Amino acid sequence: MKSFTIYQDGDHRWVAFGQDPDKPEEIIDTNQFVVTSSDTGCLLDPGGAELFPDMVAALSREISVDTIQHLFLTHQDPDVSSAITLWDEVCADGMKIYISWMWKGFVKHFDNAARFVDVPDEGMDLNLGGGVTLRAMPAHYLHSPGNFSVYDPKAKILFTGDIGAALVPESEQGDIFVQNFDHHIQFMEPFHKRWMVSARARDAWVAMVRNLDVNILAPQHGLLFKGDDVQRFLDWFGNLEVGNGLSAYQQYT
Amino acid sequence: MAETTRVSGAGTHGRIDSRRIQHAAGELFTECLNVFNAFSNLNELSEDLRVLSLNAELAAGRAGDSGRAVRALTQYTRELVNRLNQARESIIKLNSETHRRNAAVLRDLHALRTLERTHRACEREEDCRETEEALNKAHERRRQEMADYVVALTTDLQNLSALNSTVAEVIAQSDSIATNMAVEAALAGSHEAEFRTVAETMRGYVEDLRNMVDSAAVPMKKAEERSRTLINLAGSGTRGQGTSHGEGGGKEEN
Ligand SMILES: [Fe+2]
Ligand SMILES: [Fe+2]
Repeated sequence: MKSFTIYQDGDHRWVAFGQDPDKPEEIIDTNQFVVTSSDTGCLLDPGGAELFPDMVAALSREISVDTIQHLFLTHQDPDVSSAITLWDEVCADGMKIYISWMWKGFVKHFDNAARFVDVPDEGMDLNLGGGVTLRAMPAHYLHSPGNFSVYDPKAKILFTGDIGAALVPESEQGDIFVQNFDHHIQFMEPFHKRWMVSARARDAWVAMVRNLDVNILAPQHGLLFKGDDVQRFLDWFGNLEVGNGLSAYQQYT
Repeated sequence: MAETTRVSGAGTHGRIDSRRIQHAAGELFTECLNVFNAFSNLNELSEDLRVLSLNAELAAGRAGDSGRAVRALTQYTRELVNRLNQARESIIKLNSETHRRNAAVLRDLHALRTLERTHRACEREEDCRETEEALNKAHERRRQEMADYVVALTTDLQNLSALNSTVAEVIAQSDSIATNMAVEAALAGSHEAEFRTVAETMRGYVEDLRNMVDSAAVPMKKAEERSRTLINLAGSGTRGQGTSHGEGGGKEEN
């Protein structure tokens, strides 16, 4: 699994992990993130159980797993949460696992002993120390009904989970950032049309993000958006017709 | 060898052979299910016995003085039926516990295999010592948890064996009640035929119960053998008794 340092200011770092050449073919490619500040690490959507061995190995190149004190799950999907039992076992004692209040009882099916922090609908702050605070912000219904984006105002990075996700063929991978936005649309459009549920939620989220100072928009699948591509993404997503799975009802109505 | 990894840590970790453990756990589980299946008619047989004792009591009432001894026997039969029902309830509980613990062993095995894969992935990295230590600790905790579940499974099996003995005792007592009933029938004059039918019906039920216990005996014995194998493979050390492998004659050197 490759790792990319996408931000560094002293011990305040964002590292993205992904584009794993050893990943089993049928498993969807994911990006995992770790944010560090003053010897404290926070994992964001650390990936499913199948990727756990390679992810731990890649992570250990960057930091020791026992400095991970926080693990944030944007939502409940298995590509996000299915390895929490294992993470809980290898990370720092007392590590906190954050997830929307509405998913806790479901994700506990993986590990009833895990300690979860309920994230309320309006979001919450996670203080990593060293003046770095991550802010969980609502992203409900995009696609999960209990879903969050995570904003780091100091690094100006917004981790968006499945929003901005793209299924990028291996031949197109290499850099972690989108190089040509228009060319990239083909890899994210089908995903957003189908997985994203609600135009109202999308409009609310886009309006919220436009009020933030974002230099990097980092999704959980595919490539990251940087600089002007962040605005390009918001413009594109803001005008997209979402929820196209509804057409499946037509034959029955 | 693919499934067998030395998780070295601080010298306290041995190998776990997850493939053999999974196989042994599967065999133990299968034999336990065979025992539970053997007992699947227990409810029906104890209900038959209860109904028979009620009918016999009515017949004894109709027989007046000459039915007094039979009435005493039917009351004793009902006590035996109660014991059978208690045994049945305990078997049902053990059945669900066995399923739960078997699932826990499989879950732990899966986690152990993933931790071992992770360890191998980390070994390819430089400067991974702290992570390897964390992995070793996690591995040891999991291995211990699995060993505890295996010990609990074995205790369940011992309890099941004790219940089998209880049922066998009830059968022996029911058999002697049936014999006494036949003796009383011979002395019951005009009620002889009625009481003899009760005694013969009861013998039939006793025979069915005996067949049930016999059919449980073979898988029970196999399950006991399998549980010993499993304990040896999984490391039988329970919490507080140290965690070194080899307790119970482990196969860690394979
Ligand atoms: Fe998702
Ligand atoms: Fe996802």
